[in-house]
Amino acid sequence: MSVTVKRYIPLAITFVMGIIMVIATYFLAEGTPERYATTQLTATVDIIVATAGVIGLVVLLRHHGLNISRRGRFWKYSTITIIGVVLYLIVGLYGIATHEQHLMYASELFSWVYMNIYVHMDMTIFSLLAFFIASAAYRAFRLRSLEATILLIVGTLMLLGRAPVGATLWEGFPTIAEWLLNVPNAAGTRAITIGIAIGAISLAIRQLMGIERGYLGPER
Amino acid sequence: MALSISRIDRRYLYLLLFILVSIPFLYPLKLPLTIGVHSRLVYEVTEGLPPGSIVISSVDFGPSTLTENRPHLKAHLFHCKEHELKVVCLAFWISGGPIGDDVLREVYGSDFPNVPQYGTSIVYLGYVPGNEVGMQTFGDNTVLAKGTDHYGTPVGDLPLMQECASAEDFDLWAEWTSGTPGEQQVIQFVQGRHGGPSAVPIVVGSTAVSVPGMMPFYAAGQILGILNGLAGGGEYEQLLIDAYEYPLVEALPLLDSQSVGHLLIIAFVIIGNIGYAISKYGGGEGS
Repeated sequence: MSVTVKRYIPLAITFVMGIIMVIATYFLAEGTPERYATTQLTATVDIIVATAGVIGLVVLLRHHGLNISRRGRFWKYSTITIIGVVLYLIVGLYGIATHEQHLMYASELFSWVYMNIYVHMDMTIFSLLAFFIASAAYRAFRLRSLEATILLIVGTLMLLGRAPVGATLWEGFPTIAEWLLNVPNAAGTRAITIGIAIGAISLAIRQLMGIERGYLGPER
Repeated sequence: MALSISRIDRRYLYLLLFILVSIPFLYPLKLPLTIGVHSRLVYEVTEGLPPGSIVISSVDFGPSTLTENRPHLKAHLFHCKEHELKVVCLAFWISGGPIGDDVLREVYGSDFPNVPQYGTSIVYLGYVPGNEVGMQTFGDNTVLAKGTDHYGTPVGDLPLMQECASAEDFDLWAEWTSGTPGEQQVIQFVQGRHGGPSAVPIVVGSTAVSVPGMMPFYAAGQILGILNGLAGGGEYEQLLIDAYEYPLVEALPLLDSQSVGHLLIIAFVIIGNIGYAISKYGGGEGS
């Protein structure tokens, strides 16, 4: 593939689209035909999302298919992944084939599988965090330094302030927890947020100018 | 002694946590609940809207945080229904699509969307693709963002969507979130583009772990109220019980278990540190 296709065309697309969005946000008034045209442009993201979905499916099947054929690491889990994807795909296609109204409709069976199988599995995995947190609290939350001591005290106050038992023990705990959230936490988070925003703006300018090219992949 | 404290098999800790957290399900403690300012503000902002106002209810979470986020969504939808607000419900997370449908069936009845209010007082658009770009498009022009509702009906056939053409028509954006896109993207791509907090007021229901990150936006008035995790859900349910005899309670019964879990973690921290102190100052072996 030539350098023009790999580098210059993507850079040009990034520049043109970026500039259009900047102009639309800062210079075009709401309700004008020009602003409406840019909104139509952003609506085309559906096409990218749909294409990315298909690419994702192909990459996933290829990655796990190769792992199974090579008997690679955890290949049995790859088998389960492919079975899960294919079965759910069949359920979705069956719903589309049998439904009278619309391609977009999530059939009863599709929703049932999601709500009664996937939801419970995902919730189960996430809920295991409670056990890890309990274990970590026991083993890692140590008064080793001043910073660790402050962290531990604040963490304990938040634990007491954000559950009914805190107010039962002493009615001041919820007030302290709200103050910690509203004042010291907000101040620290604000500083981090502003720092991130400035970084994001500089990164965006570098990408628009074609200086930052990391998103195009490695240069060869 | 220090050695024995620091080397307790973690499986015993897991077992203890499991048993203690399970007990309140069988024998509820019924601990009194204090209503926090953040939750009360969500209630007051919603209650302060005149009947007929349009509320956007965005289901931006997945199954992993269902326990925290679903009570927020469900209670707020119920509140909107009782207060005669018009709701356009949608999801910018693909995993939120089926969850929104499930919760709406709980609030409006199992026949949803075949209920009299559908299309005039409530619409469910389902998944709107594009993450923050989808949010921006929806704020600029709702029809361009999604041409049909979750059930395949063209939005042109839904009278409520004629009243809700763009962010100019939104009276409140209720964001139920546990990540990105979430409240920060609504602020950036909808509120910021359409006149600020006074034009598009935002209330949020979020997982407790995400709330610290949104406090600067709350302090700046860009977010008017926050339901903070499970406790926030329970507080909102209590407010709805007092005002509307809320029948779909979900978070309140879980708060006793949460209290026990928090106390146990504090106990673990204290015991762990006693073992650490003994090992450090008593000459024993540390963990």
